[in-house]
Amino acid sequence: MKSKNAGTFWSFITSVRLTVILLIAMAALSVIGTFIPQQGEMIDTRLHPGTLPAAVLDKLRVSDLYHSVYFMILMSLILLNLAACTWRRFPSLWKRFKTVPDMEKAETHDFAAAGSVFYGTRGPGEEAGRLEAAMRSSCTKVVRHGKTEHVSILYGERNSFSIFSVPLIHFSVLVIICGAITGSMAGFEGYVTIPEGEAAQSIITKGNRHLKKLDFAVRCDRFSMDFYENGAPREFRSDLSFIKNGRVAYQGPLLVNHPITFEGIRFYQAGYGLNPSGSLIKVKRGKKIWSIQAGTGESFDLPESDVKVTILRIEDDLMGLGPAVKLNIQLPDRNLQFWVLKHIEKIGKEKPMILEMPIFDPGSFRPYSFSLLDIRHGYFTGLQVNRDPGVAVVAAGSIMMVCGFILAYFFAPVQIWIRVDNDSGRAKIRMMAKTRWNKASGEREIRRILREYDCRKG
Amino acid sequence: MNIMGWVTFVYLGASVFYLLKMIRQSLLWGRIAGLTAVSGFVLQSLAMIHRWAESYRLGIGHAPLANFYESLVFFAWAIALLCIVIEWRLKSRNIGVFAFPMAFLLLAYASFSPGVDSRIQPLIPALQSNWLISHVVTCFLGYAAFAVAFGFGILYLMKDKKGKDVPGRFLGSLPDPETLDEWIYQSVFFGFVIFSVGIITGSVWAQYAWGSYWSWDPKETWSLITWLVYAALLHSRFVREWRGRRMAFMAIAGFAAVLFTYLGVNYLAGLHSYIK
Repeated sequence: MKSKNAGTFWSFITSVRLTVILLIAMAALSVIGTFIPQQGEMIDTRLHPGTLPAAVLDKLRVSDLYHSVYFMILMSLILLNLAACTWRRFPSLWKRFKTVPDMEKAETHDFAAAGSVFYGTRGPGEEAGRLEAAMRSSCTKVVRHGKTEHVSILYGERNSFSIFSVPLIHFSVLVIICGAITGSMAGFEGYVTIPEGEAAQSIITKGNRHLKKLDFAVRCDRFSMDFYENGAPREFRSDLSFIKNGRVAYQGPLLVNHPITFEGIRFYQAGYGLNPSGSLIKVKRGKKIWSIQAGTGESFDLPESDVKVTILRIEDDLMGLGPAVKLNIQLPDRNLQFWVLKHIEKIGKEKPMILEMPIFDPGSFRPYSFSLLDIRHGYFTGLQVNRDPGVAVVAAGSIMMVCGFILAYFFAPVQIWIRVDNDSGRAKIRMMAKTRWNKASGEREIRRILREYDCRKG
Repeated sequence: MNIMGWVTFVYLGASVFYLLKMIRQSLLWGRIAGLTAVSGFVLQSLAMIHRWAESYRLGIGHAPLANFYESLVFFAWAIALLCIVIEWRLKSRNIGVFAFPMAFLLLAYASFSPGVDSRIQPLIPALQSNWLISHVVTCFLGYAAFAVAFGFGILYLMKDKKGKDVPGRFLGSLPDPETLDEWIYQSVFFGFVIFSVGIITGSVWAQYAWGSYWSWDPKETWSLITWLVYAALLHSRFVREWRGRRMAFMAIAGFAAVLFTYLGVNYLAGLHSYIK
């Protein structure tokens, strides 16, 4: 009883019915995935906490369907089914490849459906011999059964190795899935934005949004764009330097469709943008006025004093108040921080309350007063940064799959049966080709043998 | 009106002649239909070559496979090509009655819809790749083969009602159901092979352009769905030996997935969208 159950389970796991069900289930799950916004798309459930749909979606993990438990289970079932099917069917396939069908049984083979029936000009024995020779020129495993003048049966195969195209294609699917799993476990995907002229040493990983430190730094020396006459973009280009141990180890342009690989990590041109990067500040003391240019993070010495001023942040629009810079003034005993707004006069008229807050007071450090004249912008480049050790595996799987398809489609295995009967002294010849995939290729093989046969008629 | 507009009308003519051939069961109409179809196809090929040359004259040379308009035109071209090849192989002019109306509709949409921009546009950086041609050609040949399989599926269902071979007035000249079934399968098999290559070339390209061979973009996901539907069809035929009506229904369902992959996906946000 137990073994019977095991047998039932085994035949279920190895059944193609299960395969079809799994394929349809996977298709259905993918359909759902394309209609429910996935993580990083329109609705981010974390941004809408508390709303019912968001909570439900979050519970079911459909917001990240392709990495969900359901998908993993389905994928594992497909792998299991695929492996089991191959395991179960491979021995008989191997046997079919190594051996010739039972010729004793072949005599009762149904030749009624034979596609090609004709009478030979010579006696049955001679015709059978000539057909055998014709067959040998294009077929393998040629067997002639029945040496009598009464009936001869000929068998031959062509492209018999191609029966392995099916397990090859299935195996390639296994390899591709394994490569994908390798990639998702051992690799990472991330993103980094680097302002022109600056270097970055860590990236933000996709998914869990961790900061990941690299063993080297990437500097964007220049970002440039080029446009066609109609305004469509022609080129996005970042000139990058890869800096390891303080030395530039590699330098090169990064373009869309032309990634750079450095130490096994690939960099892709993925985006760009403008960032407020510099500021022009007017410093006033009494009647004296100085203009100072400084970028984010830069410091300058306040004229006629020994304090240092650092630009902490530059914003295009600070909380609707327009362009602003945040300064830090380093005093011997403390740090003084405040924002300098560009449109201070306008704000003074419209919202005078705001300027009464010390953090927005341009005269926080008397007798100096600060004003923001302008903000300069600089490009930053957006790079996608990946490491995927599974790519080679997936590529190998894809090549195997293409080879499998080429074998299956262009070299379909064909079995050819020929029966020569003694029809009152004349040779009645019946030929048929058996092929599971491609009727046309069977007919082609018959024609090939007939051509060869006609050549030997002589 | 440009050449492609004329091709549209030639395909309309071919469709009408195919229909007349089917209704009147006349060999003469069949010959006229076949001749019209082939001349339309030749004209379209010339128009595409002309467009290709023209893009080089404009200094932005690229194969005419780069935007929605060009994809519609190539889809129509691929359907016409497969139809002509199959009719020549089968030595019967029947599938054209579905193939050429499809080619006509695609071209009519491309040529006359105000929403489709037919100007030659330069390639944006993401499309500047050697993989563009192989990816687009293989995918659309696959789509076209699935479209032809859909046509055979409909023919099958017309011919074979509830398992009975209906002689009918119009359907007498159609091949027998077994032949139609075989050709549903032949087209699907060819489509599946070439479409698989299309997905693979696409993922190689994505690996270079987007940094990931598979990113579950809606177009990628829908092409996988289409692939799975046809994989299910082939498995149920190979191993479970489904034939006839079931094949026909699956070919029709598969083509619905193809249409969604091609057109429906534009209404979902994604990297592949033709609609900006």
